[in-house]
Amino acid sequence: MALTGLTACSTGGSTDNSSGPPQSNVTLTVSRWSGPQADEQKVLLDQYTKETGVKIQFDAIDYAQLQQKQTLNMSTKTGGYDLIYVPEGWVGSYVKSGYLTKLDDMVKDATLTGANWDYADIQQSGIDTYTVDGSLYGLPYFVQTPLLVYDKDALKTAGLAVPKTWADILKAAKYFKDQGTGIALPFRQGTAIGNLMAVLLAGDSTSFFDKSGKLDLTNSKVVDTVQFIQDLSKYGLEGSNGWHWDEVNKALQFAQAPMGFTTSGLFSALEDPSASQVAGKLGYAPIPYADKAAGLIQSWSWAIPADSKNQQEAFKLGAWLTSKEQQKAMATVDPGFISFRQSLADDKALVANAPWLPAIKEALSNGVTLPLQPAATEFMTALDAGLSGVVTNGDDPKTMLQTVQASEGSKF
Amino acid sequence: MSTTTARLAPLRSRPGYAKRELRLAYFLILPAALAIFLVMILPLGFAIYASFFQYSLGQPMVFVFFDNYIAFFKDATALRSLLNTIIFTVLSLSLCISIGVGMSVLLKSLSPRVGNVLRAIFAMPILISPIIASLIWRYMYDPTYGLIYFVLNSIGLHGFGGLTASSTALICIVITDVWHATPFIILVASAGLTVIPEELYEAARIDGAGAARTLFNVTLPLLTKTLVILILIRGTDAFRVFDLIYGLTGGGPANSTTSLSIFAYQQAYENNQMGYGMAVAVLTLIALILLFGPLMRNSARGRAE
Repeated sequence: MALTGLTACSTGGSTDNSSGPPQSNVTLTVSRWSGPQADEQKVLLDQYTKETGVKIQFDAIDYAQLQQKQTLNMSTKTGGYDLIYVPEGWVGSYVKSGYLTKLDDMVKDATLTGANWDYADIQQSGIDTYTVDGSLYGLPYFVQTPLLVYDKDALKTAGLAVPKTWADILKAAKYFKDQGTGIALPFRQGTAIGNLMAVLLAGDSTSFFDKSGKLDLTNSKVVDTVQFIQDLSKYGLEGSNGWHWDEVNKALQFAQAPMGFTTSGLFSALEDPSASQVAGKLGYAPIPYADKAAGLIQSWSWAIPADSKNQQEAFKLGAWLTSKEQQKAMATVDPGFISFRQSLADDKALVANAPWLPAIKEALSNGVTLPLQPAATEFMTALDAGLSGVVTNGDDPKTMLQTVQASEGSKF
Repeated sequence: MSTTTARLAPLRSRPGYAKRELRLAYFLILPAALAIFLVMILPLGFAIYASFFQYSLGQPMVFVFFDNYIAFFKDATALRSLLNTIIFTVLSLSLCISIGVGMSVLLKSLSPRVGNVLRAIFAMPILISPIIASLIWRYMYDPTYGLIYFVLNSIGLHGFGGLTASSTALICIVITDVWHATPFIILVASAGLTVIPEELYEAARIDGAGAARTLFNVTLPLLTKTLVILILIRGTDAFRVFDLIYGLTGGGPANSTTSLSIFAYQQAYENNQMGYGMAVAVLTLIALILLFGPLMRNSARGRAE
């Protein structure tokens, strides 16, 4: 059903096919993971083949093997892939290894992008994410970010306004905890708690690092942020210290939690009337902040390997996939698909199905990524474990941060 | 038979026969040896080789000699994972063996029909994959929806930390593992019990031995070889535990359930420190050899005798 809709929505394509099906000798090999939207994307790619005659081999594999396979292909320089799906975390190392093509000239070439592509419509934070040493290496495609999700009726009954600041959310969470529930928090040891901390830091106009790029976990703003996380955890729904995003989403979906922090990739389930007890009753807002609203850019882009033998054709396909028309088609069949295109966040038809879009636009206007340095994953793993101790064992935030600073600081 | 032997005897005495026979033997075992080399020796060799390098996907390999091994013994999380693994193995193994053997002795004392039905029922958890078992128990342990909290709360026991407290998370995982692995012990121990001659029990009864004395003086001594095999299989399984922990807690809270396998996975695939991850895997192998090697050697010696 959804896939049929996608084909129907699909427009664009510049080839004139009035005199019969277009012909092309080009075959592009596309690499992506077999996760969300892979099936819908396959339908789009088939549509592209119909419109242009360009044949596409679609290599969708498990996320766990994707980086390894892309690396293997690009390092052997055999031109195995023409267009690859890349998250922000891999771009730096791919560029450093010389695997990717610069896209700066291509995005300015209307013969490649098509006349109405509108590069300026792509959110600047997305462009910045895929810009390395001043050059663009990926076309931002899909993003997700955590938000505060709340039951509008529950807040109204409690006489509470939508929480915007740390003080607001602590007050609301305490109110619901006293009523026997609390806020659903993804505070299991893992990536979610670290992701939230990155958003909270950005919302307090700070980060894990000082201006010179050194790890700086002991500054007072970082300590305050972890203290806030600990304070909030006291008002968490019973057991949510062991939850990840999906469990928070379920607690919201089945009306067990009046509010919670969850991630946009899971929002569709909340508004599906056949699967959710609260469809149409939820509100969405940026994660409460100390200074200004902020979001986390967890995204994917389309990049072109340096060894591709069909770089221009690959770029045309990438531009087509990131065009307004195709992005709207994807968002129509999957409301959880969040585009970097700003104009779509205000599209009334899309917002009707995806009421979180305005909040996401607000959050991403101050969007940050997780640290992308080579040692960042080690640091985040250590921090996630430390944060887990803070919320489950009541470890002292400052001591925890000093410990992580001592073990990870020298790597940056 | 004897005619065939008589016909073959002169063949063996011909010059070159033994050499040809040896060549044939080598030729016949070649496919198996090749398979073992490709799927066991080669990956193990690569793991040992890679453990001496600073090795991340997409980056050049840098030889660091024993640095990865030294880093392990300086890393508080790594040592914690080693301790967790030892605690998990000791608890899980001892509970599995004592409950499993106890249950199989109990089932043997029942009528064969009842015993077989109960054995089949008890064996069911074996059919569930560890990751599914972990998902089932994750919801059992959930403070909001879980059966365990429902039972505890209904009898007035509040404040159980379950999977969300560092002090209880590992115990919760041990309980899940015991639930999942004990049926295997029951099946194997039950098979072991069938070969103990009934006359011995009869003699013990005539001598006036009670149930406990019969268990310790007849059953367990004659079950020793089976127990050694069970300890080897379950012990090594428990020491390498990954999927149950990954599904239940992911190693948290605060690394309180991180096992060596989870730690190696985190290093290799989450932190992209393949060399360090390989070093942890090699150290796990060495620990397994040290812990279970003597038992394996004795078991092999026992079979030879």
